Amino acid sequence: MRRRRKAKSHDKRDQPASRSDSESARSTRPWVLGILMAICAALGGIALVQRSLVRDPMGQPEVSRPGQGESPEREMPPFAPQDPAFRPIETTAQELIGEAVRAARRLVERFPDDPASIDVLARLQHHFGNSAEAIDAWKRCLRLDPSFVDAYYGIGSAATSRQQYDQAAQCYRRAMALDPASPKAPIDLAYALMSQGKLTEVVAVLEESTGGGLRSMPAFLLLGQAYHQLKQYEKAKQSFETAVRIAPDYPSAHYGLAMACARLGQKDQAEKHREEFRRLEALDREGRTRADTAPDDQLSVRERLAQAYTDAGRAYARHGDDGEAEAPWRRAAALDEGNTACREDLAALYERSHREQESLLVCRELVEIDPNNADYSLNVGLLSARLGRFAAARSAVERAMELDPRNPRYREAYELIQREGTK
Amino acid sequence: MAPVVRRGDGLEVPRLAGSALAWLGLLAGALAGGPIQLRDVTHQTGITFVHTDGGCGRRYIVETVSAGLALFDYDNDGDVDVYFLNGAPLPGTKVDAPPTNALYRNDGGWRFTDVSDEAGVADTGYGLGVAAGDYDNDGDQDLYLNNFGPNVMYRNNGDGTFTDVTQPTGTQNGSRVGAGACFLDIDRDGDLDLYVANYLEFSYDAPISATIHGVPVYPGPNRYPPVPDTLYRNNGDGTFTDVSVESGVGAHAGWGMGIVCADYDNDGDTDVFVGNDVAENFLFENDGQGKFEEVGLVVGASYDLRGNPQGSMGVDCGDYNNDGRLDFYQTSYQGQHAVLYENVGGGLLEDVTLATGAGAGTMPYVTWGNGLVDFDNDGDRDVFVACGHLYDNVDRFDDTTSYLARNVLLMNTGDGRFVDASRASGDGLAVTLSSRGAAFDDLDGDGDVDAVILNSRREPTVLRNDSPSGNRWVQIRLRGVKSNRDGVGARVKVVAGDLTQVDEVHSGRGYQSHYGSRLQFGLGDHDRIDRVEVRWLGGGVDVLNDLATDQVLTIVEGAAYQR
Repeated sequence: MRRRRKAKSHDKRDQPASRSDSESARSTRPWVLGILMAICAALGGIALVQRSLVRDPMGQPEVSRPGQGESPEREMPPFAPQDPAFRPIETTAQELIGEAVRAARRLVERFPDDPASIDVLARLQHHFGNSAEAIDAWKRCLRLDPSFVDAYYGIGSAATSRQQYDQAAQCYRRAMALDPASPKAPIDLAYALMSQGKLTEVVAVLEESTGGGLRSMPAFLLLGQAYHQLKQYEKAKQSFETAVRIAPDYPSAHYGLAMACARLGQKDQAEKHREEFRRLEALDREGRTRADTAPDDQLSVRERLAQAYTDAGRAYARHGDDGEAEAPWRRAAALDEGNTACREDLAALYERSHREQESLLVCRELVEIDPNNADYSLNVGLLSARLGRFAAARSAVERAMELDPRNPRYREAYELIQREGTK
Repeated sequence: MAPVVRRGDGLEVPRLAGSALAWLGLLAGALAGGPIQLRDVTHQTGITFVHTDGGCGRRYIVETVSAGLALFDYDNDGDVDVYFLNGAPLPGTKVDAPPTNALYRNDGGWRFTDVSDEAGVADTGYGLGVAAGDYDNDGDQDLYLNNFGPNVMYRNNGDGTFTDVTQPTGTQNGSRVGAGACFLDIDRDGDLDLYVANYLEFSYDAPISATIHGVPVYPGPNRYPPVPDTLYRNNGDGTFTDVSVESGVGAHAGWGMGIVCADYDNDGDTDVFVGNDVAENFLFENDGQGKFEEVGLVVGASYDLRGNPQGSMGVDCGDYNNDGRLDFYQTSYQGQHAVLYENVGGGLLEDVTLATGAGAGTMPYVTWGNGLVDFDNDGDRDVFVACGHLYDNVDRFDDTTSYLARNVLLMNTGDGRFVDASRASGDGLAVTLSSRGAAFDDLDGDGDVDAVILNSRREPTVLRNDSPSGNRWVQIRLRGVKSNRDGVGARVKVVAGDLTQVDEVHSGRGYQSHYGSRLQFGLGDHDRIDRVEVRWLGGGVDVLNDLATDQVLTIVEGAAYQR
């Protein structure tokens, strides 16, 4: 039975810290922006919009002729062409992992001097329990590019899991130097120092970072814990209070506050935060219990592999090889029916390759996954319009307008489609 | 009236006695390592016990948590004997002869003889936890086995044999998945009651499978419903009554594992610390009458520094910083430090693991048996941690840990910190197996504490303490008269110059194990003991002054009364 698709933000707590995660998220934007820019351009010249919107699915330019009318809706071909990347996922998780590692190795063989490609392999290895090879791969990244900050995060994370806190701390210090704006480096560094009991160093790192404007709940939480261990309970309390202000529903901050208040003899406040901790912890426990009662290992493996394939596709695309990028993105889509990132990449790839029909299919999947994403509906509308399916286009953009009625772009797109559809 | 003190008590083995080989070993250890030296002497002991978890590949969760062991003097001959728990065949496993628990009599000179059958304690149940205590106050220690399946109470007949008195005592506890067990006197009436931890609700009818990255593994405990523990009150006539509900204990369901009973708030009664797997620990505070209130969160015993529940396994207690208050040490799951909860007074415990280094070396492993033990007799308590994963195939999906692991020894530096001394503490710490229960006592009567570790699916490890410190020591055995005969729950303070230490008699502790009925105090270079004070559970206090070191003292309640 097909699992109901659901958009999700991947939990990266157990993955190596990597700046490329956020870069990946950012990289999905240009496509959406590109289409929106086309709309904006359309406001100044319909011809551009026509060229932009209307191409045939095979990539041959096809200008919608006035009076041609609306194309009949065609039945969509199944989104599983004769492509090994789309073969049904019937293999075991271990086989899938092996296949992904081989794919990542191929990527590295293709771009042996590209740290970002090697990083894809390293993160995959680390996540699936091969931290030694992951560290080797990240070290190779650093030999190629000593400023490749993701490798420092990666080695730091792997070293932490191997309890090599000194090495982890060194890496995070380097990451801080290379990436001073990142909120992640000081927190990871503080954690590595804390694990060694270097509490005064933890305080020094975090006081400097928070004093420099870092407003991060984990930073203040760690700072509070360090002060508490140093028996500076008033400062611990202040740090936990800041953490609570930033994230009022995070149980650990209330726990810290309860403990600090107890040590300060502030029994009423201690009790208040204990009760809040108890309430939030019960909610957490409920979530944990649900997850633990029916864990889906196969699903989580597929989700993680889909991320790796997505990253691999992006590595090919960065090197201008859209042809090679497609297969890993499609594999990602086949592995994880809720993965939006690979589908956004695929849709953009098809769109720029003049394969609107396929792009539209992928965009429809995105709408199905995240029906509340107005941009997804807009893209379905724009692509439908290009294909001459103006009724479907209007319907999709109407949905976008419903979702975000204040956004003028959707109305502008709607009006444009209206005009084009009635010519 | 003069104190009733028996020097040596038949244990006057020369402190550094042994063959030339032993001397050579000691010398090599001293040269090679640090002040604590633990030698693996398993193969010279004659112990042939091999643990089985009873599994056949179906991966029942109980296989992962078996088992504990007991160090106690079953025949009252003054030396410490060893009782190993064993698993039993689970469905799908066929055996020619069922494995049994094993009692090994200490014959001295590091030789042990299997007396399981003649003693009548070769239980074939699925062993998990054990406690020894003289529940009938007849002068010998009885045994309680907390099994997967019906539990067993063995009454010590005083002649080297035991009688199964489970039915007449009413302590079978249904047919559950057991865990730790402790004898304690909840109401200070002079007889030992019994706390029985229960792990989870298990049924063969609802098999649960699990995988990690596609590799089959044992399911976690929270795939099963938690259950409340059981508390039995001793009726004083050889029977027990289940008072779980009326005592307040039964209102709290958890995944109970190791437990230790101790007077955490120093108010003269015995409280109960329950390590719960994958959930908050319980600290049951006794009102002195046998009614308990769960105060773990308020006290700070339930969660670690970050407010996270632990995969708690074993719990021990002892005063690590010699401030007169009992602290708690709790082992946990991979990725979590074993936790040291410092008793800071005012009814509060505080996780000081990171500040003290008490979790060093524990993070990569699942940690189990543990003890706050002064191995080098320098007057502060070191920490021993038994390690080993519960997944026998963990290397297939995680290279940061291993099923077989070296155990960890953390040496107390005397300034409130611990250093990982595992690599410098002798070949006993180089043994690489998957350990579970660990127990500590002076097996050869030479004045320092040795160790016995039960290893899952393998032979046990016996570690002889060959530490070259030359430090002084005293061992104290209590004999209750008004209070329970083992002195369980009594608190002892030993003052030698500027060194003041406290300890308490426990029955059942660590990871589902029993040890330490006889208290051990390292005295450093102090050559006299200024004062020994015993606060009995009934409220009486006995004091002894100006005593020699390096001896075993037996203190009888009331007979040693001094002000």
